[in-house]
Formats: sequence, C-alpha cells, structure tokens
Amino acid sequence: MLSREEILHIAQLAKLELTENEINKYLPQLSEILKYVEKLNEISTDNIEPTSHAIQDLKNRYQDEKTSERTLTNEQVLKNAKETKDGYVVTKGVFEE
Amino acid sequence: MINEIRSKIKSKKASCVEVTKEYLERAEKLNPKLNAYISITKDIALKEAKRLDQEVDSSHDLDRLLQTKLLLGVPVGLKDIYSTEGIETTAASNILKGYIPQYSATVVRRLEDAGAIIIGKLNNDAFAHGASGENSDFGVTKNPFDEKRVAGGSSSGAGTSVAAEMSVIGMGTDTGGSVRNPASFTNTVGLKPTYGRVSRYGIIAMASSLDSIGHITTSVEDSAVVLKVTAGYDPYDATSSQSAVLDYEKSLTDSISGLKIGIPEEFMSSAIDAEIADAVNKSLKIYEKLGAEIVPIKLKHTEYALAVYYILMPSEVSSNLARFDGIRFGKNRSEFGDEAKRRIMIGTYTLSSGYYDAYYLKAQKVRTLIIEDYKKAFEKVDVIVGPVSSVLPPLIGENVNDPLKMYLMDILTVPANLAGLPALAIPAGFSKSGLPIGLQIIGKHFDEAKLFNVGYALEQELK
Amino acid sequence: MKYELVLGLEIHLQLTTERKMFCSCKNEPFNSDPNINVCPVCLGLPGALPVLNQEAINKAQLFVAALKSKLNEKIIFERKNYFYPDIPKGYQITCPHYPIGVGGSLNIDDIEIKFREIHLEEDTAKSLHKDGKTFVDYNKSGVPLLEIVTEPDFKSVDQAVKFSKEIQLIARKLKISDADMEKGQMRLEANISVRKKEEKQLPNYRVEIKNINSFSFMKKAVEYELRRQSEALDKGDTLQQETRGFNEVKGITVVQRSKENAHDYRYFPEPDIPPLEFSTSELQKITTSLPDMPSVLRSKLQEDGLNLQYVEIFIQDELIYSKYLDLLNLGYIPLKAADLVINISSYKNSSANEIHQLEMKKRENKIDNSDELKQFALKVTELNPKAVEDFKAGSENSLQFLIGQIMKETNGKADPLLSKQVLIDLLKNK
Repeated sequence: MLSREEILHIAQLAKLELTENEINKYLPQLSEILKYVEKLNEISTDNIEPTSHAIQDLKNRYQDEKTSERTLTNEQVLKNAKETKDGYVVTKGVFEE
Repeated sequence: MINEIRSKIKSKKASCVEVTKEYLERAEKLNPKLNAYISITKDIALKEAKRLDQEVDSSHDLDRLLQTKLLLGVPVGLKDIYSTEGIETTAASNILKGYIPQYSATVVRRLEDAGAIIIGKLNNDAFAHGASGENSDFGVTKNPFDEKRVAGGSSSGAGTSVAAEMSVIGMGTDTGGSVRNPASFTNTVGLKPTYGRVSRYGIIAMASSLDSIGHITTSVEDSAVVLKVTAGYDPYDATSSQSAVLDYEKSLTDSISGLKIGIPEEFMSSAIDAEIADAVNKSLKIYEKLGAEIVPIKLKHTEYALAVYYILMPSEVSSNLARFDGIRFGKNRSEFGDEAKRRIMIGTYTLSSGYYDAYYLKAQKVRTLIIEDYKKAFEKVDVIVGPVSSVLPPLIGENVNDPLKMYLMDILTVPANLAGLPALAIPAGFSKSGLPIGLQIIGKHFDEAKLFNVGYALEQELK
Repeated sequence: MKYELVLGLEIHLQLTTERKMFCSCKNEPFNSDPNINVCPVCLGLPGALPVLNQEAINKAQLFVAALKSKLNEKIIFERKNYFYPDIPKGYQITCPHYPIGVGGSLNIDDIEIKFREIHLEEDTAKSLHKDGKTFVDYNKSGVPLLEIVTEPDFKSVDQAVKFSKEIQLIARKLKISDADMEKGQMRLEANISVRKKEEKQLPNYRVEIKNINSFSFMKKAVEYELRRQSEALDKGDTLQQETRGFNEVKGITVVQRSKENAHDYRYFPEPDIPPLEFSTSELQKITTSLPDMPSVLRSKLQEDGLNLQYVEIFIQDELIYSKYLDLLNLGYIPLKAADLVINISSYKNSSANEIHQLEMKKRENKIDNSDELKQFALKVTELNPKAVEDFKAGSENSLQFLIGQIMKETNGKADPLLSKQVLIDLLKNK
C-alpha cells in the first residue's frame, strides 16, 4: 500500500497539486494498480536485454536535408499562451536555478 | 463505401458537396444522442467540398484526378488528439479546451491531399486513456447498438461515427487496443497498423513507443484504401518506416487456401465470455472451410503483457504530458482528469529513483520475452487470430470506479502494441442480445496486406 | 593550507550547425527579436516530434576524436525529466549514459585532465526574470549543446581556466563552435570539494556552481568556495552535496538546491529517437580526418625554433599560419617566414605568393649602390627643403622622413641603412 507521503512526493515530482479528496481517492487505486504490476516478479529476466524500440532495424535516423523549416510566426508562437508581452511568453516568476 | 462514393463522383451521379451534406446532416441529427463528435466543422467541410467539386468540374482527366485523390469526397472524422491547424483540438480534456493548434498532423495533410473531407473532431477518452469512452470530459459516446452501453475506447467517437454512418472513416489511435476495442464494440473494421507504418507527427502522444495511428471503417476494403493514403515514411517522424507502401487493395481477394492461422491457447481461456469464444470458433471453422490450416500455438508470456503495458505506458505518459504546464498553451495541470493524473503518477513512480530497475527496466525485459513469443509463433504461422475483448460491451458506468477492472479490458490487445505488430479487428457476429463481437487478426511486421486479405475472406463469408 | 582543491568541470559548447538539434529551425540563438525562430518541435507543442540533426553528431564526433576520447559505437538518447519554464517539453533530450565519447585527456601544465564523458543535448529556452515574472524566448530552445565532463583532476583554478581556454581554441579550430563566453556559446559549471592534502580518496560530497559566464567569475567563485569549505571543515562541519550560486556583487556563494531537493530526473531511453550505431571503420575515418591539434602544433613550431609569442599567434590565427606554411613551401626558413607574415604591416593583406613576389623584387632590384642612391637623395632633398632645414636644426624625425621619401621614390628597393648614410653625407656638405 502506498503511503500518503509517497503519493505526495510523486505528485510533487509530477507537478500535480492534489486536493485532499484526490489524495484519498487515488491512494487505494494506485496501490492496487502497482500491486497488480508486481506480477512481473514471478518471472526471471536474468540475461534478457530490455527492449526500447520494438522494430529492430530502426536506427540512425536523421533529419532529411530536403525538409523545410516549419518555423512559426511570432503570433503563432504566442497564440495559445495565457500571458504574453512584447513577443515573449510570460509566466509567473521562478527562482533562478 | 469509399469506392462507391468515388464512382458516384466520377460518373457525376453525386457531388462532393452532396455527399458531405448527407453525412453532415446525419452527424448533426444523431450527435446530441450519441455524442460521437466534440465538434462538427460544418462550414470548413462544405467549403472544402465545394472546392473539390470545382476541381472535379474543371478537370480534363477525372480518372487521373481520382487516381491521385483516393479519398475524393469521402467524409472523415478525426479523433480529437489529431492536431488540426486552426481548428480546436481538445484531446477530450478540459485542460486543452480552447487550444487551437498552429499546425496540422502529417496524416491530416495526407487525408486532405487525398481529397477527404474532414467533418469534425471525434470524442475519445481524454488523452486516449481508456477502453470505454467514459474518461472524456465532454461526456461519454454511446454505442449505436445499445445506447445504454459504451462504444469502447479510447477511439469511441470513431467507432460510433462510422457505425451510425455519421462519417465514412473514423481516424483514431491504438496504443493498447484503442482502435480495435471500439471497432469490436460497434461492429466496424478497425486497423492498428505496424508501429511506424503511419506517421505520428502532430498526433498528441500517449505512449511514444506504443502509439499506432489507425482507423475505423465499415469494410475491410475501405480500411485498405485508407492505409494506402496514410502509410509511408515521414521525415518529421524519426520512427516512421522507410519500407514501401504496398497496394493493399490488390491482394484483398487472394485465396487463403494453405494459409496457416495460429490460435493461441492463452487467448481462449475461460475468462472469455462464452458467446465471444463461440463467435471466434465459428470464424475459425469458416477459415478452415476456405482452406486455411488452424494451428494451435502458445504465447506463454501473454498473462504478463498487461502488467508490462501498465508500467511502460504510464511511464511514457508521465513524460509526454509534462509539456502541459499551462505556459505556452492549455490550462493549469489541475485540469487533467482523474485517469490522466493516475497514469502520470504511476509513470512517475515507476521511473523514479529506486524504482526504475524494479519496474521500468523489468517491464522492458519482459517486453523482450513477449516479442520473442510472437517471433517464434510467426515461424510456424502466417497470422494469429483471437478475440478482441474478453467481454461484451459493458454498460455505461459499470467499470467507471474500478480503474484496474477497466485496465483488464486491454488484456488481449496490448501484446500487439508491445511487439509493434499490425492487427485488424473485424466484425464476427453478434451476441444473442444483439451486441457486436469482434475478431482480431494479428500479423507480422508490415504485413497489413495479409491482414486485409484474411479479414476480407471472413467478411465476404459472413455477408 | 592543509586542504587541497578537488575540482572538476562541466563545459557546455553551443555548436555552429545550420539547424537546431531536433528540428529544422535555424540555429541562431543570438537573435534580437524573441520567438521568431521557433517551430512546433522546439516549442514543445502537443504532437510534435524530434528528429536528429546529423551535422550535430558529426561535429560532436570530430571534437571527441580531437580530444583523443574514445568514440562510442552506440549512442542512445534519453529523456531527462524536470519542470522549468525554459524546458518546454518538461524534459530535455540528452545522451549522458551512452554518450558520444568516453575517456581521453588533455595535458595542462603536465597534469593529465581526464574526460569522463562527452555528450550532446538540446539547449533550453532563454528566460528573463523581471518584475516578479518570467519572460521566455524559445529561439534558443533546441540549439545543439556539446557537454564535456571532466574528472575532478584540476589542482588549481588557474589550471581550469587554462584548460577551458584550450577547449575554446580546439572548438574554434575545428569550427564546431565559436565558444564565445559573452554570447553564451560556452558555459561552465564547476564541481568543487576539498580534502586534506594527504588524502587520496575523493570526498563524499561536491558543491556544484552553475552559470559561470566568465573566467574571472570562475576564479572568484572557486577561490571563495575553497576558503569557505576549508573553514567549514576546520570547524568540524560536515559538507553536503548541494548546488550553489555565486553572487558576484557580494562575492559569496549561496545555496540554491540541497541534496533533499535534488532533481530526480527519471531518465529513460527516448522512444522518439532511434539509437545510433556506428561501425569501427566509420569511427576510424573520423579520427583520420582530423587536423592537427594545438598542442601538436605548438611542439612542431617550437621545434622550428620559433619563440612562444610567434607560436601563440600562429595557434590563434589560422590565416597567418597558413601563409607561414606557404612561405615555408616556397623555401623560406621558419624565422624569416614568421617575420615576414607577422611583423611587416604592408604584407598584412598579401597572400604568401604575393609576399614572395615582392621579396624577390626587393632582392633583384635592391639599390645598395651609393652612387645610385645619391641621385635619389638629391631629388628628395630638392623636393623637401623644409625637411632639410629641420634636419639641419637637429630633427631626427626629418631624417627618417627623408629616408622614407627615398624608399618611396625607389618603390622600397633602396637599402634603408645606406640611404641614411648617403643622405647624411649629402646634407653635411650642403
């Protein structure tokens, strides 16, 4: 069973602000799902390579010389942003990192 | 249906506008009840239909025009995770309400270039998270065969729209079964192409290594035509295949005598609804009659496929949804629905420090074992057949409070996604209560032609 | 001082490719207008997909080969997940675990500075903090960045500065980056810890100083940290793994992120970018196509007998160096060739061949005959009576002027020393 602490830590990593309601709702659900997937511990995977790409000969893919730029206009870049100013996208201040 | 429309337009028996109007009227009439569409783009559709009619009228070589525009005058609905320039794209989630993409997906461009007429954005489980359509923030899509039941998911709108003749084609995506599932619940044909066969560029990503861009149609022939248009290398998608796009229609009517059809014992367990098992067995008998050889096979890691999927998929989801930070587009992350939040959190957990090896890495290794199962099986058989779903279309609300039970709906469909294999869902009959049952045909990588051939054979027999 | 510095560097170089790392937008991060070099990919729009720019790989591999680092046969890109306004996707695509190259070293003042790894990643957007808000410009988002990670082999910050300058030089020589720190084309991060002088083991912590934008900044920051950390250890404090920022105005470092708040990047293989695989022969070709590195060049030039000043000029200026080489080919001895290309201002814009022609003319027609020169001396003194008067009044400059006039008249063929003699004789007698 996931602990409340763990769920809060995950939510923080995932930048999700959960309400008290949500925490209580998700805790049992997530615990049940994670318990189910632990089924994989039943089988041995010693000496088995992990698969990241299912299609084997998919490698060395590069940009095509012929592809044109798909540059957006400044207006298009800003189109869906909540707040913009002087061509910039604006968001609330963050501490310098 | 596609070739019928084309021949009507060729012989001037109908215009693009007339065909479009017919489908638009039906869509507008049925949508309030069935909720297949989030938005119906009437004006844009009619404008495009008019433009195409002008092209047809001023054409000196209509044959040539029809050769280059395989979907001329054909109404299409697009799952609302397809980016459409200038047209609202919500992913069926509140977080993207009002989002207007400034570019279109490659597949959208290809459909437009082929003369297809986009009539609206189809409803789905928000961000493609679901197997019933109940995770949409815009209401659930109803099953036309029984409006108290789900249409399947996550491409729920696509299934209903095609089944109710609101469009000829319903474009969707299949990451764990999301085209095959609604197809089987709505008595339509659903194709999940090989991973990389169709470009993913511009389609809101769910799980990047599993997403397959598929479609729903009323017939196998139509499905083959659509693939001819959507398939092919796209330089904007580094995972898109450079292998040649075949003429999928050509081999439809080939004889299937001598074909080896594998039936995995793991697919026909006691957990399958008896009527579904029955329909599958009837189909196998028909295939035998047509000269195919039914070969029992083992896919011994089938029972682990779902666990693998529900580790790998949420991991990729958690990363793919990180760009939704409300800065350049969209609303605050708190606007994500429950299922999206659950998957983001599971994925964050399975990738996190201390857990990566036990979950993510482990799942990737078991994935290798599953892929090996199929590789070995395909040394003995040409295609693998089985049910799409272990249950008949559930009632709306039946599984909504039980996420894990909902996940179990994907049990038979996720293996094809994990292995990148193509799979076709075709109608295989009805239950006594009149609910559709679908059959699944899984093929080798890039062997969609064989799937269409095998599907067509059954389709013709069941007519 | 009973403590010694344990210093490692992370250097970021913006590559000078035509296009950005994962999209075909122009690679021009220093644009004046914000958000005009942006596409769905580098803006991180839903549905957009990255596609690798081969030029970035080529430049990175060239650099790795130049540093004698081992070129990896397999390169796998991964996602580094974290939230910040300047990373639009919420993750950065990078390849730290299966990088471009591993190992190798650079010799600075007889200390081998070893490389841990060299990898490629995409640059972040630019964010400006003003009035409690953050303004974001995505022109820089997606620019290819080469990251060089060293082992903590530096014994002093001066060494680190020297090392960084050498990296700058090599990058420019290979034309893979302009490496201008003021333009942000080269950025440094220092990893600093201290240990007792006799201690051989690495300390169990390190302090990361990010966003170092000049060498003087680095010197001050590292020196401050050395002091601060030594004092802390003397007091008996335990030092923690943390990220600190250097406040130039106050001259101190302050904690920005402690170990507890350290990012969990949740790396996993990038599904949208297929892995890269290279054969041994492909990688060998890269190594054999390399031009000479500065250190090799330095040794060669010093063997030729050139002084350090000349050597550095040739290392820094490719054009002058190639003219020098051309002159060597034409038969000039190293010292003479160097002198001709470096010291003669009238030869600055001439090619080696042109210089050679002029030198030949000089030698052929050199007027070193007093009688011939006397004719010219007569002419210039007649044309310049004021100068003659000034000379007679004691002005050395006027003599130089008159010599110059003779040079002018003879198109430089007159022997300057002899001309001076002839003039003096003439004017003495006038």
